[in-house]
Amino acid sequence: MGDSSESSFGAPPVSPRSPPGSLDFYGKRTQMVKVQALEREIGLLQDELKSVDGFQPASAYCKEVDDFVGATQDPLVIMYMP
Amino acid sequence: MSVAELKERHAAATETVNNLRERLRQRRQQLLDTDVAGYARSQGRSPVTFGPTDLVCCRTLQGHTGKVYSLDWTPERNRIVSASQDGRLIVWNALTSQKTHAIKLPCAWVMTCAFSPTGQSVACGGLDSMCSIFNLNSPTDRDGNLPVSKPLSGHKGYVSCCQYVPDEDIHIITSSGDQTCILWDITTGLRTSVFGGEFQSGHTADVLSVSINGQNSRMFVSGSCDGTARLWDTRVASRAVRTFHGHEGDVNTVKFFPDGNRFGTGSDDGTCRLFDIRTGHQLQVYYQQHGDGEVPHVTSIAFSTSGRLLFAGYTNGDCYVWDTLLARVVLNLGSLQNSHEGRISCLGLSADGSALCTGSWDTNLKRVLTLMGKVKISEFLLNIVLDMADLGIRRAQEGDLNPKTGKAISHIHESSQSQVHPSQCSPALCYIRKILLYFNPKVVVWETIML
Repeated sequence: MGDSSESSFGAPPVSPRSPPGSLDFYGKRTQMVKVQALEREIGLLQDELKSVDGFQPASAYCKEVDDFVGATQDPLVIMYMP
Repeated sequence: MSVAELKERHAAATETVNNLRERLRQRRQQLLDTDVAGYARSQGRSPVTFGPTDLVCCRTLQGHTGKVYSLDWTPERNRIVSASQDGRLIVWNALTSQKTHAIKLPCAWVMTCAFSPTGQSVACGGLDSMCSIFNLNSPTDRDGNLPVSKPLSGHKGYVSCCQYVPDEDIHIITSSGDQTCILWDITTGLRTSVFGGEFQSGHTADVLSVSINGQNSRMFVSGSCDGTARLWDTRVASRAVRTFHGHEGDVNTVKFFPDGNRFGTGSDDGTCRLFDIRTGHQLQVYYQQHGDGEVPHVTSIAFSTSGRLLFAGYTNGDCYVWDTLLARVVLNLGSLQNSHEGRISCLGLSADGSALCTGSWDTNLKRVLTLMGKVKISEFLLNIVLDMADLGIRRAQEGDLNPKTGKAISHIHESSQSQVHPSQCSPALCYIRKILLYFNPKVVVWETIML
């Protein structure tokens, strides 16, 4: 009994091992997620390209900024305008 | 499908994405017929002028013993909450400089704080990956500390920024180093929506800042270490409404323009930019040339009530007041007497738009940090920070034990904050760039002298 106990302590510790191929499997899943993300982005970029064609030039939106600033009171600005 | 086939598909998709991005960039470029400054000049707009005594530092709020990381004004009363590396939130009466609350945090490594719309509670977040809500009316515990009234747990990385949804005390939006933003229901403590993440279209690096549209609280923008800002609709978490490109560094701070149709950004590339949310047009770049070649990063921004002024804090201690229409610097608060001695880490305008509060770090203790390569961020960062607390900023060395794996480190990845581009950083290094430790226990309130 003592011998068997000693031999079990003397044996190299058993460490859990991953099943063969599991690392590849994980790499494949990661790769798949990356591809899916890229393909989603392709769809979004194609949608955005289509929508950009309907936009006005930036000057229209710069005018909106200028109009808003001019029409809004500002305690930090109002006193200092020349 | 084999791994080889997947790699082929990945390469093809990457090429398609790059081509589409380039086409989009060119198409957008064609639409940029002017910028705000060009338009304002064409309309004959006069510049805003400030004398050196027009905007003065009226008081310094002293009480923190560590660098000030974040601050926020309460909407209806003149109170400020500030968060510091000393592990406390302090609630100040901005008119009298008195402290009304000093809240000792369960986790000292706080990065952000926010006042609730009613002023009844404050929130904070940091390296513990939690957003903690404190009810200011709660009784203190036996040790005199205000207890956390609601912990919001669910982020897988540090909480970098938080903002309550306006007009409510029950919803808050947080951003995180886990690349996501979360809308929380404070009543239940549960996540209502997660924006971004592995299986959704969102940021591809740490999210550093959020800003909710004051005109439409369903919309918010986020800024990230991936160099982009994204617009989100809280009703549609699965994808960003729009992605805004242009910056060449981390987007550290985002803030909605007062009209709700645009927002500003501040970045490690030293620029602030103004973007239109409906079109994605970049309407203006705000950049001041520096002679010494070192480009200070923009850490925090705020617009005045009309949007005419843009306050921008920089890592070199400058705090520029930009004339947004003419894209000129009107004043540098950092050059005035009684200003901060180090980087401006945070700033905010009072609700009535008449006062500005700035918070600072002290940059005198700038260090170069050394980190190892691929390590999961959350546990590791806590170890690094604990090392910092005990030993100052500790440099990892070959042979040190990796706290994650328990194995000796065989390779050290070394870089400094200024040398590393975000795209070259591991997530951990990317983050450490943000938490170089400095100390300057000052919060300064600026306000106009009403004549």
